[in-house]
Amino acid sequence: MNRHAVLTDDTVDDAALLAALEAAGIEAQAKPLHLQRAAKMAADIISEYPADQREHARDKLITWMDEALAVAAARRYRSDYPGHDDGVVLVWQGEAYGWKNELRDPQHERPGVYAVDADGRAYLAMGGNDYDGAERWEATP
Amino acid sequence: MNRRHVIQTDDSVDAADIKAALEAAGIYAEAQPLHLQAAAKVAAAEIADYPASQQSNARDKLIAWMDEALDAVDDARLKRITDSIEKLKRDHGELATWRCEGGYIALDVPTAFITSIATAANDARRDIELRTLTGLLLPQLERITPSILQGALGAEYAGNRGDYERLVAMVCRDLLERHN
Repeated sequence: MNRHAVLTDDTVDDAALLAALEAAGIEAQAKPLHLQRAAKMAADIISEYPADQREHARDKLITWMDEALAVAAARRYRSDYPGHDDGVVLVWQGEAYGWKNELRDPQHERPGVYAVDADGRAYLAMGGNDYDGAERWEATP
Repeated sequence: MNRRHVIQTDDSVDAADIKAALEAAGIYAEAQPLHLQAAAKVAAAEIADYPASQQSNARDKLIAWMDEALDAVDDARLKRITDSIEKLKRDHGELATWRCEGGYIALDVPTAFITSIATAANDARRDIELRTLTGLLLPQLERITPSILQGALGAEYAGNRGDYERLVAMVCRDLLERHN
């Protein structure tokens, strides 16, 4: 079984998608995506991994999700506060809280902070501790 | 574009097929295969649709629902194993429990098969019996992680589904020796 995410405009509902696919001879099931279905879908994908890799897959998914949320928060910050087109936006737990002209001074941020540059590349503050700050920035894959 | 859908198809249909089919019907859409990383991005997009002040809560809720669903899958898997063992007992009588060194694998095997495999008239008959038994034990076999399977099979491990049959053959030999 293959799963696909399809993005359409607001006028297209699942019935319209199914009719189009059926006309092309493709048998499919279509469902609208919302928060709970996204959770279920993620669980379905994780549970297809071998038992000893499932926990790692779950953690990986959460990491990727948090990275994507950090990038979205940075984009919102740049739009809400014009004049911050370059440099990096700092994001903690999904909320943008500051901006720096370049990626620097990891010791000023706590581990787990994301810095997102103008191209949407995310860097994670690693090592160290909350009191002394992080040790380094690592580019996320 | 801001309406998201999940589409399930059989294995022969890819995202390009879906995009082409929709385009032919005049629907402009983006379609992408949903693997782990894409699922993470789709989940993040769902969360990002919430007002900023509610996103943290939405994220936590999504993870809680995901974990609940994973627990349900685990419970169902466990139930499938216990049900299959019950059915083995009902259909084939007495079961013998085999444990690998260290106890990481436990398999409940119908003793009738151990005897029939050991006394099979020829190799072909023996292979059929072994394949049948492997099929019956599949719910128990599928929970064994590759690393543990490798530990049990040693040099015989090949990293494919044939490993199950090799393990079952080994189990039958062990149980037969123990029985005699």
